[in-house]
Amino acid sequence: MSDKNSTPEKVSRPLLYLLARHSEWKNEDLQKVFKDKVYPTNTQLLTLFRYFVLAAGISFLLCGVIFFFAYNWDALTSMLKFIVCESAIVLCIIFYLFLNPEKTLAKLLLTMAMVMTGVLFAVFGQVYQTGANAYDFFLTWTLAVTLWVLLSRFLTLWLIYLVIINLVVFFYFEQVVHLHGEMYSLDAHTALNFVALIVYEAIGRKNKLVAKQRWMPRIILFSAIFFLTFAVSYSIFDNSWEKDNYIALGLFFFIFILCCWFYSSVVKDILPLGMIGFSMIIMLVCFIVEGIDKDNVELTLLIVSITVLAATTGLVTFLYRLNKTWQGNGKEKTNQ
Amino acid sequence: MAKKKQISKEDLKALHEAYNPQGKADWKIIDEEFENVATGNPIVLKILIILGSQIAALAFIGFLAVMDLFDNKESQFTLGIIFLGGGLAMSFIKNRSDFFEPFALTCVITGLSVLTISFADAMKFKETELAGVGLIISLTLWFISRSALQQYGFFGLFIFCIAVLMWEAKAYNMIHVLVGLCAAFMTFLLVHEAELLSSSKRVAGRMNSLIASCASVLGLLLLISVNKESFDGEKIGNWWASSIMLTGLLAYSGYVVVKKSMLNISPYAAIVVAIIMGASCVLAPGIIASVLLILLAHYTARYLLLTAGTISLICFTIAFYYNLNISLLNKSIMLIISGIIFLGIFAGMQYWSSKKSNS
Repeated sequence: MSDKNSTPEKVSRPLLYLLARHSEWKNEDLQKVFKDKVYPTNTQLLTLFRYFVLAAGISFLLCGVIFFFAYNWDALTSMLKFIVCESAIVLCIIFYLFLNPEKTLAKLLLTMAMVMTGVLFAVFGQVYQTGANAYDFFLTWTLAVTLWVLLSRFLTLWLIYLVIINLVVFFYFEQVVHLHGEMYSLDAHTALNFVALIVYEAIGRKNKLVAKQRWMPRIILFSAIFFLTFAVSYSIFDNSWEKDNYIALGLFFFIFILCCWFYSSVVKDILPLGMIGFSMIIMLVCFIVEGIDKDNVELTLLIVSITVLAATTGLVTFLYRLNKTWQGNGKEKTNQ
Repeated sequence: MAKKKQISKEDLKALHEAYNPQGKADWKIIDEEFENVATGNPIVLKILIILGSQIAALAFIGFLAVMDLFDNKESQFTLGIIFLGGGLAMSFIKNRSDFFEPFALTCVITGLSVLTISFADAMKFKETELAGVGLIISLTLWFISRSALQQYGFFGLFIFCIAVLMWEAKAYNMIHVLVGLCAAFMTFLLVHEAELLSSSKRVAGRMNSLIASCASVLGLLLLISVNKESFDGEKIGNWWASSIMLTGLLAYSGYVVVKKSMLNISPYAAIVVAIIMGASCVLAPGIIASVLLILLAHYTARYLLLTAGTISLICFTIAFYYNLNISLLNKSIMLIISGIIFLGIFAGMQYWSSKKSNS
């Protein structure tokens, strides 16, 4: 009889389901297997709960503070509003300085200080009616917190920072440049997020802890591809073919070639390849819709239907086989 | 990059022998299916299949409509049956690869849509009657189909038909009952996973699709109905009812998780925490539902569900900001209180763990 300690440390849920479907199990035995091999250990469970409670506490508190200042309560004097915001920032920083910067609590305090800085600028605009537009607000906020973001080693803070920079870019094209073409804005968002992705993956090459966190590059790549798909689809339907359309097309080739190479050879990850593939299917559909005779709707719909089905099947089969090959080589599981 | 070692057939046999030495196993079938199951099907592929199939089916239905094929009732009915039957038949192919899945799903979506239009046309059905028939058909198809993706869709359609019936009967407050039922069913499946698997072999094949359907429909129901107006311009109220049911489930889940995990803390503490949490978010049932989802996903190590819970928590918090029924001041007070409660729990956990390590 095998010893429980000689069994694998963790077993995937589908394999246990397979075993449960084709063998007789007693309730207690199966519960024991799930507890030992699938579910997190007690220590992991407690750690996860602790982090969740801490993150939820700080997030709710911050949201409450943001809602409170958005209400712009008349009964609260301007001075009191400033005192509340500034003291919150100062307290967060003081506690941060006293704590170990690697601790989650310290990192969350820094995030809190970062968000409160934005609230402070918003209150400043509210009280003095500066007339500043959203672009000025987000730009000032970005500049003010850049040092904290650079010093911190906290992915959530980096993500919030990236969101704010995206807002700066959005409002720059919307309120400052007043460019009539949305294409430049889409191109700029794509380029910005792609640069952020390159920076992240480059850091990940040096730092194993950063490389382990796959959710962050996936979110960044998703946003880059989202903007790029919009830009290229827009270019396909826009027959003018001006400079901005060519920029989108150039970005498309550059990003897709680089990402396909990187995520299939260097970091073996199915998800980015799936995102890229689906984006290409959308572009293909746009190309068909634009290319086929406008009066022949039925033919367009039929070709779109067949193309999407064939492309999805091809993509899924390709990714499935690729994943199987990766797992077969050295019997190691890749990022999924 | 950290990589996990893949499990071999021998590992699985060793596991079975160690935990279930007396239990009989059909190793022939397990060996046959092992490779497909062990390779796994990354969730991204399933999402791709769902998205691609829906676009393809939509375009194909459009094609059929433009070709005037919907004018002829017989051709409509025949096409519907052929597509639906074809899609279901493909789900029966043993050890089918993902090659068939998009085809099968597209056929099922097209067939079902064409049949619905055909029925509504031929029988002069109104929405209520159509939803009633849909209820029976979706449940039957759910029983017949062997594909997890199709089962997911059929069960989702079943709950959607119930929602349509409630909507048509103008029983808007019944939506709380539906929310409660979806959440209760999902909680039951997640908390009693092992018990259900050991008691019925059939459950194993359908468990994941049922959980995914319930979680998706629960999120969708709350997203489209919390503080939104119905088509008649009437607001659905009494959201505290949903909140109470969800809080009850949160308390139950917390109790079971603490008890089953033997965490050395009283399970009643989990109930108290859940009640405080529910009370502070009584007007935002979406937030309570998201916390419930996160708790259960953590406990059962389902990371896709965890991601869905986290995203829904962000979405429902943003939706709460735009809820015009409550003033921003009241909302901020509720959120600040919730935040302080959570931070208090965190402080309590820290104190408890430091006390434990000192002793």
